[in-house]
Amino acid sequence: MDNQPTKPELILTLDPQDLPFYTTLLQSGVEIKGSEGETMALFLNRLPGFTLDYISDVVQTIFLNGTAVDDLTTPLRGKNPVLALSAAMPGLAGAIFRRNSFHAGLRTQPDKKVSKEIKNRPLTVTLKLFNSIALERGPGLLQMGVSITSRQFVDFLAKRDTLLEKIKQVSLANSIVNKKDLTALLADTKKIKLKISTTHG
Amino acid sequence: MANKIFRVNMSTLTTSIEDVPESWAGHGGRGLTSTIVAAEVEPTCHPLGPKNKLVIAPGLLSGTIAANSGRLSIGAKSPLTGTIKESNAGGTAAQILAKAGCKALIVEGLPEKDGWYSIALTPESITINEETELPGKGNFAVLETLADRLEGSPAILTIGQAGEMKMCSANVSIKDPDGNLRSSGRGGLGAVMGSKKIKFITIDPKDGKVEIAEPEKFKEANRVFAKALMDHPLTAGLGQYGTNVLVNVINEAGSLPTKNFTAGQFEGHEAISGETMHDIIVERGGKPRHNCHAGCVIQCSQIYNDAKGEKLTAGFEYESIWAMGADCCVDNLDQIAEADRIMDDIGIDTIETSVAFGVAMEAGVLEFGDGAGICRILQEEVTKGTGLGRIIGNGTGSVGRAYGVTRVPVVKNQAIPAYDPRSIKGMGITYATSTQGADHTMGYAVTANILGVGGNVDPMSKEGQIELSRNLQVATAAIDSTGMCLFIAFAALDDEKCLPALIDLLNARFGIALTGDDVVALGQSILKTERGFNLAAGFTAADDRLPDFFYTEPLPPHNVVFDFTDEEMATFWDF
Ligand code: SF4
Repeated sequence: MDNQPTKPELILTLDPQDLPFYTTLLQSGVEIKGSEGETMALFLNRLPGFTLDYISDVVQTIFLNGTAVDDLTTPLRGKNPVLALSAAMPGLAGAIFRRNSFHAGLRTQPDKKVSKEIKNRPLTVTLKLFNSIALERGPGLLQMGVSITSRQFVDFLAKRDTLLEKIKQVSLANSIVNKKDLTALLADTKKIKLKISTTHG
Repeated sequence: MANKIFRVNMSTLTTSIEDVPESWAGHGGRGLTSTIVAAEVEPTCHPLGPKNKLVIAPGLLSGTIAANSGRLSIGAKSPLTGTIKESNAGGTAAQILAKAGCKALIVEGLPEKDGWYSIALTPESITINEETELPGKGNFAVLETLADRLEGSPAILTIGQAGEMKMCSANVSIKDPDGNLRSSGRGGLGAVMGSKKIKFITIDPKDGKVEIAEPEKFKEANRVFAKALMDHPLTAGLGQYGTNVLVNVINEAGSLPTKNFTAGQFEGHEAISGETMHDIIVERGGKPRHNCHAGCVIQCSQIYNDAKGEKLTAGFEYESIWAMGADCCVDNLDQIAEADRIMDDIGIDTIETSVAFGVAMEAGVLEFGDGAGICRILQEEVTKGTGLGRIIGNGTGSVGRAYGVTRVPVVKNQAIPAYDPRSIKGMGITYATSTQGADHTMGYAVTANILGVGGNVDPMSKEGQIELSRNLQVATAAIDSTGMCLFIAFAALDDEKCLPALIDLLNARFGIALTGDDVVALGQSILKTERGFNLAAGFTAADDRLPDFFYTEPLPPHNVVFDFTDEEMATFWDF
């Protein structure tokens, strides 16, 4: 799915009960390859656990480039579309942004020019998973491996230092490294493929 | 136990317990506080003078076993907005007040001599007592002292130093079941209580109970109602992340007001998001899920601990976190939690005060992002009532006027909360037209089909959008009268059994036969009563608008402005 060979692979080994804490990383977005013109539903359906039922019933709030979207057959366009997924949200604002909501009329529709022409070229989608969607579908994505910027990962650990303690083993580009050296080791690396594996005991 | 009106006259230091006038009998919560304020308060009076009255009323279903029915309404003429005001909050007071047989507590007049008082209410009595120990103290000290001084677990309503100093952002704070505070925060009602020199009110229900006209029907309706709430997917989400789950989503939409409303996205949003907050709470042994009153099945509140695992704050809401976070550019949840705790202690509205800090930052009083500075000013200036402290404590508009800032996000002088009206225009309509100044809770999501409140006009047209906002405000006014938390609205929106069950609860409680139409009529009449008060106080259609900059400064990243004209907005009241 993500076949950029230049990105070093970072594999973290955790106890299974610590994996959910790492799903919060997905709020920043991970990069996933797709192709222009592919519908949002088809794109998501290729990811682990994103069955069509899950996409239509549980993913209640979707933003494509910051605009709330109702139609799951909306095609992905542009070079780097940003797709954010959330469960249903509280409050009037939550109801306004919810897919096919009665209150959708209260949205502001930004005046964006969308080119009609769709070329069937590859694109990189930044996928953000929020709240229960991250918790439910994040483990599958992280175990599969996702492409993120090193900075995102380093910032995440810097703000949540207790998470570093939870890591049992770190492998970077096929070598076992000391977790305390991670920030320094990633200093000159722009992007990594992050993979999390879990172990018992 | 028959319901009574408990009245306290602070000018004569006398009290009375009166029968409920027939015209008030069908009201509760917001409907009752607004009805009483409109009937008894001179609309042009000074809000901190002897003619204003503080009215406290449980909802129609408060004190019963009905799920989520323990919200307390407090009303008066607001010193912040000059309009009629109702602010509701959880805590134990609504249920206990209802069990004590109190339909409403009305506090009127001002004492002639200096000194502070407390009020004690039981089913048979209401007394005024002199209070010398607690004036000058914060809310947490009040709760601690009273826990030692009083027997049992009475409900406690208190004001902190902000209320004593009659700051326009002062809360009335209400004790929750675990000794935390919930705040009737908006509109400065704590200043009205402070003007009447009342430091705290205690309510002991003795063995009082709320009578139910048809107990079996009531139980059945509550079973259906509570199940609809518990089965709704939002209940799980709110229980897990609290309302702060909104940070990421509103930021993604470009609607998270940032740096005093100059942008719609905050770079530090991940550090303050509900997802991050949830993990921190769990890691530090706090409680991600907690209720503000017994009987709440949704439990959107939480206990947030500091890094040492000690309780730092409770009831940490999206709007407060947004205000100190994105609006002041503070990307540190611990600093925000510390500021939240200080504001709870002083008894000051976290939304109004934090938005005021955003304006103060634009004025150069402190740097954007200076969370430690916010905590310092709160403790050293606001708590002590210095000049700067009073400017901030009197709200966002006060800071704008003092420092000559023109980007002041207020409607009717009340700070605009957490959703930028340029990029969510539906919120803008509600902020502008609400009878109580900018308030996100005034037009909530309520089912379109059952109450028929959806509207008949194309929702993509401006006319349709105004009609929809109006109907949401009508439905909200009705729900605010029941004592129900507004988060029931989600289940009401999606589960066709939920709202009929709520109406069944009302009917079984009082032995009446309300229909959905009656509920709509109730909501409409409450809005009209409130609007009538405001008109008599001197407000006009020209006050139903947003500040200029929302019409002229495009909001990044979508670069949108608010584009409803004053004429379009004026059609809101055509009903
Ligand atoms: S859902 Fe939240 S605000 Fe509503 S009653 Fe429960 S704890 Fe209180």
